[in-house]
Amino acid sequence: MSSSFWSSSHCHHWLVTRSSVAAARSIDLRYATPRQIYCLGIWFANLIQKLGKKLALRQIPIATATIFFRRFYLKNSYCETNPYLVLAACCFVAAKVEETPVHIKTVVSEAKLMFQENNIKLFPADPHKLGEMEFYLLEDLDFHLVIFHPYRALWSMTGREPADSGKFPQSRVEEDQEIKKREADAKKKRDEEIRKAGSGEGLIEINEGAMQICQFMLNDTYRTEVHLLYPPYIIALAVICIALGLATVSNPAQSKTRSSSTQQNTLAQSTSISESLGIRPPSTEAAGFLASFNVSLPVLLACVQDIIVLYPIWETFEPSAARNQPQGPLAAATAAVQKDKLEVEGEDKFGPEEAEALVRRMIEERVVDVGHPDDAGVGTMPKLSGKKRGRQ
Amino acid sequence: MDLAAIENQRRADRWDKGIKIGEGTFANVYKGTEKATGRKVAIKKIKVGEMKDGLDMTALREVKFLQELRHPNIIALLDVFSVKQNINLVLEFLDTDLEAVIRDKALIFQNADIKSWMAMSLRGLEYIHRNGVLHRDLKPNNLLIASNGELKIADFGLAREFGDAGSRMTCQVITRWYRPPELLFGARYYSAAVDIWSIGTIFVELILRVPFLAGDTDIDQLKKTFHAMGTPTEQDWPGHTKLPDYHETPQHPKNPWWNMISSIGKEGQDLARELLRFDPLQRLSAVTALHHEYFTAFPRPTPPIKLPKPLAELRPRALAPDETQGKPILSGTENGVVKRKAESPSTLGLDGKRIARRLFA
Repeated sequence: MSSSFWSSSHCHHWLVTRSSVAAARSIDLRYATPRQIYCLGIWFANLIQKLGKKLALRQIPIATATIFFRRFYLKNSYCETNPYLVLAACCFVAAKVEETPVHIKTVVSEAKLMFQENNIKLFPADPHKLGEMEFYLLEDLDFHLVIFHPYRALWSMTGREPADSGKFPQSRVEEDQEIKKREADAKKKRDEEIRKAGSGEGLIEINEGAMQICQFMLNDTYRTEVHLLYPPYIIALAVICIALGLATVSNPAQSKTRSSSTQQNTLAQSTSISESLGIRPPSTEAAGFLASFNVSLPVLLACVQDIIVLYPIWETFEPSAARNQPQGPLAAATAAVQKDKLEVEGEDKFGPEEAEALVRRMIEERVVDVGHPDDAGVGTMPKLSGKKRGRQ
Repeated sequence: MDLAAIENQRRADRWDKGIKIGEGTFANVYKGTEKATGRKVAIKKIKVGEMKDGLDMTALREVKFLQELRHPNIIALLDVFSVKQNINLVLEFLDTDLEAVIRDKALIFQNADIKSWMAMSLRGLEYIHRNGVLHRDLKPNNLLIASNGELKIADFGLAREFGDAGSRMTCQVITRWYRPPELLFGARYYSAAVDIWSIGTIFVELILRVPFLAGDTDIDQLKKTFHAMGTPTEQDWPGHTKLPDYHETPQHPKNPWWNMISSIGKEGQDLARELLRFDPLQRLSAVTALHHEYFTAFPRPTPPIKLPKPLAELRPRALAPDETQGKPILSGTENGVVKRKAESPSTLGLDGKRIARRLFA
């Protein structure tokens, strides 16, 4: 974290409207359906995740890389670039930005390996090319490199703020036991304070299970466009909102929101009733919590929608059996929707292999179209840009 | 052209690039002007094309932080654009730096001048720390001075954020003379207090007109530090013996080193002592330092415009030396610095003109 979100480039330049996100895909949409394009987004995010794991990056650099990738494609089209080269460059730059740099040759060799495993042949395994791509990437990012992730917002809203985040009081000397103890004490005290502060506005206590769902779901949000559309605190809130909903559904008695036992009983009752009716209202605690923020609820709900919609599409793209990420209640919650979807569109299967083929086809077709003198209404393909993007 | 290229071209057209005024390993600096207003700027051209291993971390950090930080006491990044394979940073043009001011023996510092520089440095630093960033290379050479006398912190090539608890950081940062003892002992978990130490040494340097602790090597730096201030005991600095690179140092008795800077007055001496505590946890933070009574005591800080400035023509500012990840960044080999090293603090007290004019001694 650096600088305040409100004065950041993230806030001022990189929160865009839905229509500009859509406009950025207009050329790609000539070669693929919107659904396929959406799936490509998931797929590229998965590849970034895989490459990041190979480079031993933590979640934050991986998240940063994914956002760089999304931002780059606000100004470019998939079919006019080599997305594999771009995503390797995103990982390379993100690793540096998040202070865990990886040597360019390592990135190239690991990326080469990873792409081979995924049967992708378009990646040019050449450090020079990657270096060049890094430059174009930085340029298209307007050299705005600091990204605010919703993880921190999630931690602070759930009172799990890491000891010194946001406040910068003391140095930590690893070997100094005394300081460690002092810090642990302070943390304990703070936790207690949070627990005691019953009315703690803007803070909610949720159980570990729900917290975990939040974390997983945040990781998943990087497969969507929400990070271009909403500020991080909205995304964090949306995730809490969904997690609370799920927790109430799956096990109302366990949702440890701050409520007395009598309240919890009525809560359980009311949820069981509403469940039988097919309605899932958030608990009053949760509702109160969500309402306590000065955010627009329609915006929040739109964000919730954008996140939820990912799951059924992802499921058809890449059935959860193929993924190793524990989904738990999420999978259950979306299972019903998936069935419907599968029945509707059961025929045209679109998975990772198809995605790889699609990218190749899109690029090939685009080359043909651009080369065609009668390519009416296009003419936007810059010769220079085509060359400089290091296309195959 | 695509949108991004047009945008970039539009930006590049705003500026006129003039003569080269500085050269470094990864960047050249040119004088420039804004076409519309004629305002003077400095254009730092980073040679990316020549880098085999991708953009240098130093350059990346500089861009990353300057894009976000905006404060009157921090150098302003006005624009970034690219030409061919070069990244151009358009920075505000600053006449000189604090090192040149300190070195110019024709200038006499009033205590009020020192207070003014300190206040501006700490304000900038407070902003940096408030935003979760460590500068990690504060030294007079990196405190630039605008034509109106305003001091601005520059060179974010070593800066990094410290928002996350427990992330290991390299201890090979900060130019040696301004490096705090915990880094010399190899601490990997440290905080804003490292910058505070640097500010403390700069403060003393402003008073003495020579670097306060000018070690020749890292070991020598510790020796000089302890020689000047006394070897810390477990009581002064709990836990320091457990730092990774801790080693026994010759025992020096406690030394009332602040008598050396008595000219600055009682409050000033106290501030220096609080900034230069051995235990990083006991050091003042930038914000508490700004609330120190030194800043409210007499005399009032000089308005920036009236601060002493060298009359000499602008000397090309030395750029940050090439930084290979994790290697020490030391620029103590520049000509001017070597010259300054020749004078030891002890010979100075005799010559009234060389040190700050004594108002309280």
